[in-house]
Amino acid sequence: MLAKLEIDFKSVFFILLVGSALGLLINYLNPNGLPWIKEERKIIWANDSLNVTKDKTGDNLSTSKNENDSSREPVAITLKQAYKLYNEKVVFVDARDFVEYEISHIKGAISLPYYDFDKYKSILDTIPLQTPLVAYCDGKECDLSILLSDKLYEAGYGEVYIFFGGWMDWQDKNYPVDSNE
Amino acid sequence: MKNLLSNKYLLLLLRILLAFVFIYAGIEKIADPSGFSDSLDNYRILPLFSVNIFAIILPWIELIAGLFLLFGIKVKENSLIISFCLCVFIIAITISLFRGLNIDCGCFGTVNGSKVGVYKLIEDFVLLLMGVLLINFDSKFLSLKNQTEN
Repeated sequence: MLAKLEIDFKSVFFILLVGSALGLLINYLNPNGLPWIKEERKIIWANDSLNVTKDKTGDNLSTSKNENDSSREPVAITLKQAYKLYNEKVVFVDARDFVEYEISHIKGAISLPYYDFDKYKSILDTIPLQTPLVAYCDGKECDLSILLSDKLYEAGYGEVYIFFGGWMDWQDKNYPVDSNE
Repeated sequence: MKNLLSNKYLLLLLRILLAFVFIYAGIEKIADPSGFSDSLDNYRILPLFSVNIFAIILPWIELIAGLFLLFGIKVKENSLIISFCLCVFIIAITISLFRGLNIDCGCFGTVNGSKVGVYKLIEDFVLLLMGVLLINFDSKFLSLKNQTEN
């Protein structure tokens, strides 16, 4: 059947070879090129002793961590820790689509859909950079909370948490939600 | 029906559309290699050690195949490459849908990212159909090779 189609497989091979060689060459010359082997993305988990206290201004919440925990990059938290932060009035950020947020979300959470980050990011103007934030999405199988937490960190937020269990775990426990259903 | 499908104007239109989609997809991925690498990784299909190699090579193959297709050079061969890529994308998206992954598809880089979903699947099937037609009927009309020969 393939012979009937008169496809020149030498050309196919040549095009693939040229494309691959060009890709590798440009990547080699690019100062921001990728390493050939990707490093595993490490998700750092927050310490059990995560505590929320008032910061110096008294207006904004800030979390205190162990002194030896110098990492300011987003860290993952368990459902228990998320609920604790929720009770301490930490701001929860919903990374899912706005439509999903509108149907139901963690009570008091703000919507900042990862896929429409630029459209919705103005909401961050009202939130000081020292405010701790908890990003969440559907659950363990979704990566939006991780991606959004990276964006928030890049935007200058030094205390960003990834609620890994997300919306699924929250619902399972019947924790407070806002719902339009 | 065969006459309609092998119409040279229709095939030219399909060729240009498919070419532009792949040129655009290639350029967007080349512009943000690490973002595309993350998108590939999120599918959790490729072993980690191979993710970056695919992220480095695939966009250039898409771009070159798209450019050749646009100029009508080796249309059948480039359509075959593009159709093979589309088959792989369709399989990857289908697996992700079954696994319930809520991830960025990485189809056109990470700018204006869109989620993996049924809509993406339909989009890829339409593009695959266009590719298969070009493999079957070729498109020599307004091709660079024909112009230089004339």
